Amino acid sequence: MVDSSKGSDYKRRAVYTALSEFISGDDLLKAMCLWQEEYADAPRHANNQFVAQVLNGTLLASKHAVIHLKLTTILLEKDPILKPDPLTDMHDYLVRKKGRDHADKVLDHAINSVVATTTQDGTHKNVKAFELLVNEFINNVAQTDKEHFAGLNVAMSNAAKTLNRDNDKLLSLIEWFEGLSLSIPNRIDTDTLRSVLNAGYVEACNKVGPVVADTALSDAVKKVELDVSIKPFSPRDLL
Amino acid sequence: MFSNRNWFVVFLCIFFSSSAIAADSALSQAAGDSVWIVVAGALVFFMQAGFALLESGMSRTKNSINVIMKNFVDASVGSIVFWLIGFGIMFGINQSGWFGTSHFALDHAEQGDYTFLFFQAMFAATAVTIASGAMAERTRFSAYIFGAVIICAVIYPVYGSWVWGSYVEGTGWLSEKGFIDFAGSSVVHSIGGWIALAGVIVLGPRLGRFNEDGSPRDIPGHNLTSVALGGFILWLGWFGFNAGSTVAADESIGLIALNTHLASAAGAVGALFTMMLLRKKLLMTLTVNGALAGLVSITAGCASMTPMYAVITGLIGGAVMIFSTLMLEKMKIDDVVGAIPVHGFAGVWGTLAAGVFYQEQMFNVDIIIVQLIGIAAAFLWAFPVALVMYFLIHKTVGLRIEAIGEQRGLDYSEHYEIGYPEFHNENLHKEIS
Repeated sequence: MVDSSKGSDYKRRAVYTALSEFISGDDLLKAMCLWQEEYADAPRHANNQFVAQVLNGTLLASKHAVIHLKLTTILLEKDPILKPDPLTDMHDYLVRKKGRDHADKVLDHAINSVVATTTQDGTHKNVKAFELLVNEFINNVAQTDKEHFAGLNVAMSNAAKTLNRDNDKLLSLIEWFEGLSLSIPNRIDTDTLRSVLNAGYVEACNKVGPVVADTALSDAVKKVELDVSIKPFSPRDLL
Repeated sequence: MFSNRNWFVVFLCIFFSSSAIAADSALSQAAGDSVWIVVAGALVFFMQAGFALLESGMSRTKNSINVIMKNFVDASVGSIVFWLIGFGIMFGINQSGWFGTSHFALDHAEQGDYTFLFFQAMFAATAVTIASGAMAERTRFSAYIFGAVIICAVIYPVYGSWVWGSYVEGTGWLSEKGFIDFAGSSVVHSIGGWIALAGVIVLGPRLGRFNEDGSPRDIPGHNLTSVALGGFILWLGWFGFNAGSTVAADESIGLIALNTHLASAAGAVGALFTMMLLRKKLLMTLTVNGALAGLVSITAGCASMTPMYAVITGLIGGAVMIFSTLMLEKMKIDDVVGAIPVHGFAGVWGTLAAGVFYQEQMFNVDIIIVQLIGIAAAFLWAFPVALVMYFLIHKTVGLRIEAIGEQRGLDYSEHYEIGYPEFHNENLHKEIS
């Protein structure tokens, strides 16, 4: 079975590896930035549209099927040999072409971001948004069901423990859930945060039902979106 | 004002045209049959719109596009696969009594064969789409389509050949025993219902559908108005489904249409009455399902019952639907739209009722035994085969979407398309660029 839960960093490396056989230099980085901006979270079938958009108006347009096949194959392979993450090069490219602000905006929430901006208190914006969102989500659930909301912390903490990621980073996350620290000091990739939040959502569905869980999370997102301290990061990237 | 000469011309026209009709009465009958079957087939196709509205209305906003897509692709893929393979298995030369062996990808045939294939393709599309509603809100789209192909190519037509497989040559083994299923309470609906049952068992319930103590938790659909409209469209389409199954424009279609209508009305009343008896809330969704259960119930015996028994069949069908809905909930089986009670269980009752209330030999034990054999055969064929099929799909392609997909909604995670963009802020996914 295809593991579609592979992180965005893995997918980015896979797309980069596949495309690098056909294009190079700035063209390749431009394509990768397009993927990051519009297709990183899209379903697998959107790859066809991505390839078409990359090749549009180029001499490679006739190779659409070959490139798409290569991309699909590498994404489905179990243990492909992948090139290193091109995120730094992508950032440099965007800074050169469109300025630092645009580069930060596009790549700010990318996985293992090397350019992640921080809030005034030094926390990374995706982590800050996560903290706010989780707190708001739990508060919203608590307003509906005082009995079960405490279980959400435990579920998210347990989910963090099961993730096969960097232990130091996860430890800070777990400590925050268990109330041992007031904030999460480490930079943590958005994929990890998303998985942990989803575990909380699943727990909320089981404990208080999907209607309450959906409403609580939706309301939380709307409230956190208004917080200027996390901008330009959007809490929707954690969903 | 007409002159005398004009009146004479009109008289001649009428005289010669009536003479021509008399001479070509056989041809006219064939043409009339053809017109009726095509119109009935179009009505059956319109049922797809009913399914789409009903099923999407009973789903949450974040899954509405996915449900519509499944219905649409069922009709499209199902029709092509049935033309390619299913029709041959169901209606081809059937010497063994178990499946047909000719008429695959029908390309050169008599005019009547094309008409019949058109009508039957609509039936196949109906059978395959029954499972979509039951499996809504957590099924991976590609996996669902794999299943739909196998249903249309194998599961539905094989059982169909047992009952209706005497179109060209030979006959099905159930047909030979005298099994009565005029328009498909078992062939179409029970088969669809048992496939849906297998699907939801492999899938498991939606996140949070049941409390920790096992009691069901309501997950209301997003548009009950479209559920009602879908119910009315299905009711309308069923006139084509049942009355078209005469495969001829003859006088019997009046009784069949009347029985269909009365049974549907009685199904709704039966469901309401049962809810009142059980002191349950009088839900619109269950009332619509009651009418549909009445329609499914009368489908087998609509041509061989008097209207009085059609009403009784519909009334009991509505009650069967309510009781089986409650039973499935107790068993923690999550059927989003109630497809299994409506099509599976009401189909069983309808098939039995066709034997019990058979117009010329009511309560004949021999007929009832044959009906029971047919009912058991439908379950023993469709359920285990579908269970294995969905299990294999689950282990290979993956039948169920990941939890993050269920959180985001299948519209976003499977199709990258939003059904209600104006309510975007209410949805739990990031913005589509």
